[in-house]
Amino acid sequence: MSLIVKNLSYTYNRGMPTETAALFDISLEVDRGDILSVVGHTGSGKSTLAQHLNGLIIPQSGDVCVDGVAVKAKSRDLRKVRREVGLVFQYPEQQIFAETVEEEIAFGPFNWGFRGEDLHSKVVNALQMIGLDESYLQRSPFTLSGGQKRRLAIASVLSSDPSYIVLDEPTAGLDAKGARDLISILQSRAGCGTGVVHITHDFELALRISTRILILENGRQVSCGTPRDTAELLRKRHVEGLMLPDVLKFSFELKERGFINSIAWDPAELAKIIAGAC
Amino acid sequence: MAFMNGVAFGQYIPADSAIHALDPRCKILMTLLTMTSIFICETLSALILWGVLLPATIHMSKVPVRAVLRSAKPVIVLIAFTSLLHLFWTPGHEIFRVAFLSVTDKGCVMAVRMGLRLFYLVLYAGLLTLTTSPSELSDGLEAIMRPFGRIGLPSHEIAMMMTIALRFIPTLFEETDRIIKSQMSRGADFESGGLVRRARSYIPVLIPLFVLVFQRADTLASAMEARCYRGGKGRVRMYPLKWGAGENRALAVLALFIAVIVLAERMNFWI
Amino acid sequence: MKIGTALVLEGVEFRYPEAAKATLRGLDLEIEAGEWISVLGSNGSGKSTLMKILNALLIPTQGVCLVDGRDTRDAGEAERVRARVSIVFQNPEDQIVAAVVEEDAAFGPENLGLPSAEIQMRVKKALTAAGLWERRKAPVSSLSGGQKQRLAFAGVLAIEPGCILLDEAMSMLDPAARSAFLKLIKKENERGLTIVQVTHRLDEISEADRVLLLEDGVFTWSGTPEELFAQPEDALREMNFEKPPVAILRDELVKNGVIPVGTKADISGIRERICR
Repeated sequence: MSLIVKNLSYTYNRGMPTETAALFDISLEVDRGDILSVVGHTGSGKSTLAQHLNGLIIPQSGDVCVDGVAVKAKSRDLRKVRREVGLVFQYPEQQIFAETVEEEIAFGPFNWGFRGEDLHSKVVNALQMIGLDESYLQRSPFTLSGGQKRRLAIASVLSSDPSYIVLDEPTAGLDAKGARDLISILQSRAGCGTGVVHITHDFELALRISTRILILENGRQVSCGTPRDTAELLRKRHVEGLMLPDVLKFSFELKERGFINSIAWDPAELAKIIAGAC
Repeated sequence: MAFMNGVAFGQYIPADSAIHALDPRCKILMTLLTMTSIFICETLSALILWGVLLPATIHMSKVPVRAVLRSAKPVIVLIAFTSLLHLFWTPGHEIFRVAFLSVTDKGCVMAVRMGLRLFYLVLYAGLLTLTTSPSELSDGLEAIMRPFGRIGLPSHEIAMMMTIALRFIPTLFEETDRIIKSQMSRGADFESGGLVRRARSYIPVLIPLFVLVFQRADTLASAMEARCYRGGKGRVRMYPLKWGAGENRALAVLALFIAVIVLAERMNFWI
Repeated sequence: MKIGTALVLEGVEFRYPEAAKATLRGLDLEIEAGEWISVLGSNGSGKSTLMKILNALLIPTQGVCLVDGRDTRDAGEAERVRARVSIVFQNPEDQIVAAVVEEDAAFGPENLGLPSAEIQMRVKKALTAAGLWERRKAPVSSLSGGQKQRLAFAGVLAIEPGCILLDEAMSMLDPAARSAFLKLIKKENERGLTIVQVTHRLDEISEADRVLLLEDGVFTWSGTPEELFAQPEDALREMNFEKPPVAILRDELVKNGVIPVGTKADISGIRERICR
């Protein structure tokens, strides 16, 4: 049971003078419980890829398969895919429209056909997943703080019980506590068996929490591997638009000069390595 | 569900031509004069003359003919419909009959006349927007409306609203697109059901859009105030409009052309 | 000619009409011409209100705000203040008024009623400083987010203010765009412009002369960026910040005795001191 992308390519406005190629031959696999971080410069194809994962865009060439169901234009399968793969856009609080928190979170499951007690329990569950209690149910979403609105938007995607969730820069614009809370929501979802695809510019964060990291550059796949493998690759290869975290870059420098033997992105770990070498 | 990105400049195609270089006030006035005259003239031959002026002007503007013709596309159905109405419903000597519809001689004339008039109207207006950038247009309109400020017309404010509205079209397209996609990702269905159901399905798109737009209006107003905006009072443009000999010449040529046509019509020179 | 604007707040309080509590409760602050001040605060701390007080979009309900020695409450001062103290907001989409790059940059000078030749010169200077002169005839919709924010900045530069307020101006930018924007601000600050920046990100404040913490309408901490980075990790977390990894690296290396206590929390500082 996984989310599989094979040899996916996509061109916008194909056949017209404004044709732009966005993705070339992308392949990846997300298992339940994985956290796959997708990293790349603005315009590298991250959001085009994200919209393929829940069928908003149908593959022109290549395949996207969600738990064995291929993404094609047939409408019933498409609805199934949309239910199984939740997609959270950047600044998702901009999609909030309902009069109450309850209504907002219920929107998804309601569209999938849930009613009554079933519906209510899904809403309450989702509320708990984001760390808010039932007292929030009747409040207007527009009275919530920025961080709470963000979490509400995520709850309104989680309430459909997707097997996979794709989030585009979920921590953008949040303060330290807001970002921390959000990351722990993602980690707990992964812990409960949801496959998480996390698009981010924060490479340091990606190194810290991911099972695997996919790097995109100009629509092409540079690598898809564990944080350690990815870090090793970046030592030898520059990737356009990717700003390396200072600590990691410093460890590359020290290894290059033969001062230490292994690279690290965690400051405490690097400090220990340096102390050992001194 | 396809949702297109708005085009940044509408129809404007930049080029280095005599028409492009004309002061927008001149072009607007000329277009208005042309459109009024086309509607006033009675004879078919006058219309043919107007038709000759069109390709001449297009050639001078260096805009591709296809682009000019494309500006008529949205209204081609309307023009055809209006012509057909005149064809079948004008009383006169009947030429032939199609079922219950009767085609008269006067009907033919009216159909051609009406059709041509509307066609020219759209094409001349299209030529205006093809050769004048949106900001030039709004400057020109503001300048033309300014004398009416004395009777209370807020010319600057209207022009500023036009500028801001045009500037936000591409942005709002993108943001609406994103909201629609978000709601689709949560199972929203905009395609099935009757008219009422489909209209209601847009509520989760319209409300967030309104919220976004209102919040933006607030911040934009603060940003404009912070950049010392205080209405049109004392504002100076970076590229001020210049009315010179070229503009006078262009107006004179057009005025002469119109005068000739009107005179000839009056003297019943042609059919 | 002095470029930078000096700002003074004396006992400033601000209460929104019908609000139960004052948003700003007694602020005292002296900012010298040419200083770079970072104000750190989370949502609800009053930071946006503070920004609006500084450029006379709001007048204090109590206390005084002086811009170059002049009281913002005086009649006619508000307009003059806005020519000296300008502000860049968080979302570039909320600030750009025209559809063409150079037209938007010209908006400010046009409002000041300057002669057209002067406006053209200022627009050229501002767009060149922001690295957008080559794109001056381009439609705004063709710019990236980072470029749009630089355009918003250019639009403010064209007014030739003495002080620029940044209201979370970099929080919507990706790391590359943020780094470019910081370079731009640094260049203007070196030229003499006063910078007052409100943010919640510690990676934006290292060039500041002074850092202030705003909590619930009052300043609760003040010091240099170095002094802030020297705070222990959980103290910073209490203040709702993540200690920058480089600062943590410095702390750990000091703990392990690899580098001496006074080492600066940046890579070059650490590199120098590592035993070799």
